[in-house]
Amino acid sequence: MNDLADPSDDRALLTVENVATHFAIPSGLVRAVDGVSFTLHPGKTLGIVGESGSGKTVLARTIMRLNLGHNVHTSGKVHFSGRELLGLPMAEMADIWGQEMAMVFQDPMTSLNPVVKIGRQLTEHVRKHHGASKIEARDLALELLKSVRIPEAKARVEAYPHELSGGMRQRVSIAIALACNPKLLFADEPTTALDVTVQHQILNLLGMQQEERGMAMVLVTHDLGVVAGRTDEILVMYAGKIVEQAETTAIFQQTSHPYTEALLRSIPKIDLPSHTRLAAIAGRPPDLIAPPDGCSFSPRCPYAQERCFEEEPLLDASGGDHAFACWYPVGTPENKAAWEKNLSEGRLSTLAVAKGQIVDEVPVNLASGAG
Amino acid sequence: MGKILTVRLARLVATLFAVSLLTFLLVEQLPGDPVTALLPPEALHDLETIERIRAELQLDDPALVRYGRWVTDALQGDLGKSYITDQRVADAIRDRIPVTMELALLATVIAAVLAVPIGAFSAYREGGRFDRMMSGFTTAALSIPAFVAAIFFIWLFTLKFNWLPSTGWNRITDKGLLANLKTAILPASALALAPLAINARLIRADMIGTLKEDYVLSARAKGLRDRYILMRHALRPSALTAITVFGLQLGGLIGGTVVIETVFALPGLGTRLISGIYQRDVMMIQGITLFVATVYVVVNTAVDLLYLALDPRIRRQ
Repeated sequence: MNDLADPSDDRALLTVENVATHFAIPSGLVRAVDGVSFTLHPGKTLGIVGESGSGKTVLARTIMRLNLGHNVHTSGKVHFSGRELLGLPMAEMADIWGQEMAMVFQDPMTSLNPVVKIGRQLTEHVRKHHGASKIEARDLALELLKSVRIPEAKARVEAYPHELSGGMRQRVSIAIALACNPKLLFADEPTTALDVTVQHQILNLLGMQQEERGMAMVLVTHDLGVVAGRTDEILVMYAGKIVEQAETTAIFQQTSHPYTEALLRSIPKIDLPSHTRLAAIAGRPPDLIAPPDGCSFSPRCPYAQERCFEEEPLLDASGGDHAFACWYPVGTPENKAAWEKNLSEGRLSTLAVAKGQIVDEVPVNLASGAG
Repeated sequence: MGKILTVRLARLVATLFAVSLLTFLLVEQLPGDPVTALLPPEALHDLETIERIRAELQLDDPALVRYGRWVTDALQGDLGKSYITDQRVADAIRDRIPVTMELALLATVIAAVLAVPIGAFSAYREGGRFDRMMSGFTTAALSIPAFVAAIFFIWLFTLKFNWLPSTGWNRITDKGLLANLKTAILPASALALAPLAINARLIRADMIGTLKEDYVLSARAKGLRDRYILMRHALRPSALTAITVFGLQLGGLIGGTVVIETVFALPGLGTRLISGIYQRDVMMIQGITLFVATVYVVVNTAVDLLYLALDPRIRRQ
């Protein structure tokens, strides 16, 4: 059972136990993260996958304690490198930030200060944490820019962010995060705001740096294609909860949760003719203030049965390393029966999936009902 | 960058031309004749003398000719002579400007030095006790006219505690800096109140927006201290509005010390302008007004250029 949180595991770098983050807003309590546990070992890579609003970014920021505001309520335990982070005074967090854990943000257009030179942004925290001199900082800035493959490093040190392209800026953001050699790097959708051609370069750069520095990484993304082949383990999140958790190969080869399956289906495939419509997941993510009874994915699930609407499946790790929260997991006979039943009853979310897979066999026009 | 400079300078010249024309026309419209103001009452019937003086002062030339003469002289640094006291206007300004300039600068410094931390910290703890206290203070400071604040200061610091003098001026050159500050601090503080309140509010409002930016979060995630983030990362992007207003204020203060100089009986440009108006001292009024307006326009152009230093993104356009 190495994927659920195990506080007795003293080799672990990060142990997250039953962490929940709720935001109090006028219309109610938003359960952005609702009871998440996992363990991460030094040097390993964890992928957190889910669509917008699944709570993946909030989870990453909760672990780093970067959620600000009086309306944030966090509970659970985050054990990092011998310390309990939740409840640590902010001054002590500030010593961990940048030095032991760092974060690369989604949009390099907004995460770099437009009025501060690149050189200062690269090294100001190194100077704070390690007390480096100005000259040492300058040398370090050059070295960092070279390590993230930025040409003409000398000129870039004196440049402002707007003078660099998006890909270059994200390289700078990565260099900033790596400057103090953190043990753990969070990369929150690091390629989402970038051109497709640049995405691979940035991901490869992250992978290379991680290997060189023996650093653990949490890669947050909505794109299973990004984490495939780059992570050791994957958490799939939906409505603030983990719905499937397994080693990366298992997620792809023995996909068990219908949501994971739906995410996989939505990846564009290179062998399909161009202009093929992408398989979107029907419906919208649930309301996090008043989530539906039962399984929160049930309203959108093509396999959902009565039980799914009434009783919430818990994350079940009894099958060893592969845990999932589903009554009718993909690939089981029960799942097949549920599919046949829903198809014959004409359930819309089932038909929507069926239409994408076997267009000829679906007689009804789904144009209006599938969304 | 060079293009921006050229455009700003061209605009500066055009504005100054308009200012000089308006000043001249305004003074031209003043009721009363400078010659009759100049003469003692018993000489008012001596038409011959009046005619002679008018001819001497070339007052009978058409307005446009007189304007042309005045501007041409002014461009060469000659603002003419007072008809009343025969003092050169430039000398009068040179004599009085140190007081006014010092008051305006001191007031600006007080306003800026206090507005930055007040605005920044109010934004940092938005809605907190300090923020609410300062919101009350700035409302009060904005609603009290400077001369009322001045009278209150005099009551408090002169009558009640007897710490500072209520009138008069010590020149730095005569009595040294400390004695000078003793006479300058009360009027400067009274002048500083409104700009201080406005700037603190502008910085607070902009800073609240800036603190929600991603780059502030990423600065936090680097482990930088809050105070460093406020001053190094958030202040500059939050200062642009305040800087604009700051320029208007500094220019405004140079002309706006009139009332305060009068309350504290200070030998500044403002009190000289007032006495000029009482005496129908046309050249003095024109000269001082043109001078103040010029300072105002030049300061504002300088502030515009300050943007370029603050935000590198503007430099490229």
